[in-house]
Amino acid sequence: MKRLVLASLVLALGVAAVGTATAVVGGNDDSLNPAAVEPKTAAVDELVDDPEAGKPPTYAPRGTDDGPPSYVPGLAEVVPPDTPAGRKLNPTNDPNVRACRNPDGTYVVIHTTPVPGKDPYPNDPEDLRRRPC
Amino acid sequence: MLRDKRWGIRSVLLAVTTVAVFALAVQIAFANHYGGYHLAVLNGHSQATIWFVDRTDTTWPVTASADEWNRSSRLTVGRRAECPHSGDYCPPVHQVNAPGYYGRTVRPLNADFTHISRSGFFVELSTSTPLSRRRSVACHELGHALGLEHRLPADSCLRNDSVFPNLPDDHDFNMLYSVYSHTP
Repeated sequence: MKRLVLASLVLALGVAAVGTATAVVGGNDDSLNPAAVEPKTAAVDELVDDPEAGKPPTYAPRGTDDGPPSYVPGLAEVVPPDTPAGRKLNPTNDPNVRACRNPDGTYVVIHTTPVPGKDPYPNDPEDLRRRPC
Repeated sequence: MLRDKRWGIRSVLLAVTTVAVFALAVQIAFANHYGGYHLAVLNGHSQATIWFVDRTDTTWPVTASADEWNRSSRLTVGRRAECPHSGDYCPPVHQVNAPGYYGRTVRPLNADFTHISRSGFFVELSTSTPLSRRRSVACHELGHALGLEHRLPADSCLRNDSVFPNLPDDHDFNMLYSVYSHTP
């Protein structure tokens, strides 16, 4: 009986520690932390007629004070998931995530939401943008 | 005496197991929702700020999705036609014709994998996305741009599934609060 009580006590303490720590670290509780949101209205502008809307993208967009482009679609290499960088950039080996190494040594992480049943990376040599990196 | 010793060992094992479960829970909390790298606070802003430079047509609810993520108390998230301040995060949101995917988010990183870089940071939304799915896909991709990862299960637009909700859930905002309250 004494052992049972003691074991229950240790288990309860463990569960409490896990719950508390998880809530602190990740907010894993489903309930909203009231401090996490606040009403804001100023950040979003009103829709305006944009002459560029719907036009094909221009790669790689960047600020005027940035260096040369790092990521160029089709020219980066896939980082193998079993390497230190691969484990860091895609720790769960999510098939919809590609970790890529740019020619200049920097990295990008690409999240893709595939069309159900279609291969988002047909590796078409004629279309660099459709390659995994 | 021997019984006490055995019981002591069992208690230690139980305590170790508890610590292991605790550590696992913490790891899961991070691994599933946050990649370990995030937006930096730039340009003298009081908190991390990101402007999605919208290049899509009006069928894409970029404004509504940015507005929804802007509920976070630790981030300023907005939709703009042009980048308002040089040096801010201003990933363009392109509309592309990609038959294989609904959306794509490209997050460049700094050399030590701690922060998202500005150069080469962009989002693509594909015309292959049915109109009924565009709200959820826009929410999903913009969430990735903020540094969040897939989740499963979840009642969030970041759920890693073929179909997912239109909006972030409370956990997403808790996660953003946690990440952006403690990191520069």
